[in-house]
Amino acid sequence: MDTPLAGKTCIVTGATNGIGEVTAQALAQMGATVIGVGRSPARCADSAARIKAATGNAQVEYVVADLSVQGQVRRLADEIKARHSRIDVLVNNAGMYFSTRQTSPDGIEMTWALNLLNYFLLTNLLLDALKAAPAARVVSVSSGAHEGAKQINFADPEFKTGYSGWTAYNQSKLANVQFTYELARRLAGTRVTANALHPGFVATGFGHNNGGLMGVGMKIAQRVGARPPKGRRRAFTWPVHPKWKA
Amino acid sequence: MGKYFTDKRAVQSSPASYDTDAVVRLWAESEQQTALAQHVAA
Repeated sequence: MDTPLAGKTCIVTGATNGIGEVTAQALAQMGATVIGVGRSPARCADSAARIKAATGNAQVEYVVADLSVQGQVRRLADEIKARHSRIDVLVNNAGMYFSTRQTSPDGIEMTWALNLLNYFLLTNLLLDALKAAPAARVVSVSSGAHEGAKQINFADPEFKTGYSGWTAYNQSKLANVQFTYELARRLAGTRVTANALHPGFVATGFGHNNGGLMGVGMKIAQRVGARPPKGRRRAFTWPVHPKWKA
Repeated sequence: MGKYFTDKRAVQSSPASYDTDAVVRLWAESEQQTALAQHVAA
């Protein structure tokens, strides 16, 4: 078996379905020690078992955390750092579309809390461990949807007025790209790189939490899309493959 | 420098994403909203 990532510790958030699980499995296939993160204990257990069975890699663990809650992001970072002094890859992927405005337990609008602040906080809390690796990579999943946002609405980023699911989502994806650019600038001269990517389409649980058009549309698209083809699956992991140079 | 990738290629992201003032401001807002400075010496 080709295991170019043997000895590397890779974290993938939102790793119980869609792009996240595909990525976690591909990293496990390449021999990495994989830490998947998901909200549901049952889905975390399922994904861990599925990936171990599919890859034969026993170094796959899932940690349960709701990354829309800052206290849980902090606990997750503490748990990871207690067991791993060095992290080679962080894939920020956990994100959702919220058709109606909701707030997190911290009182922050959910799209902003989960899709942006989670990436920001988790990455910063893990920076020391990333810097301890010989060549670490932070990959943040954005989306072509970022082009739908003309700017960050700094006057009201949580859309206390005029909320629309897509407006908030597009803004959060623009914020993912901007976060990445500033992170990379701050990491210049270190051994950590930061990049963002548009994942393309995959079968995913994305949108299942929402009723309405988005939920229905996504379910149909998923049925049609079924499992991502093999080439597409690779597309999510090439930014972390050792042959890839930033 | 950070890049934006689609289908294994580095491509241009939207013009808005390169707004340096917004990028810096977003970082500061994120720091504030996560109380990061209180936990990590940045």
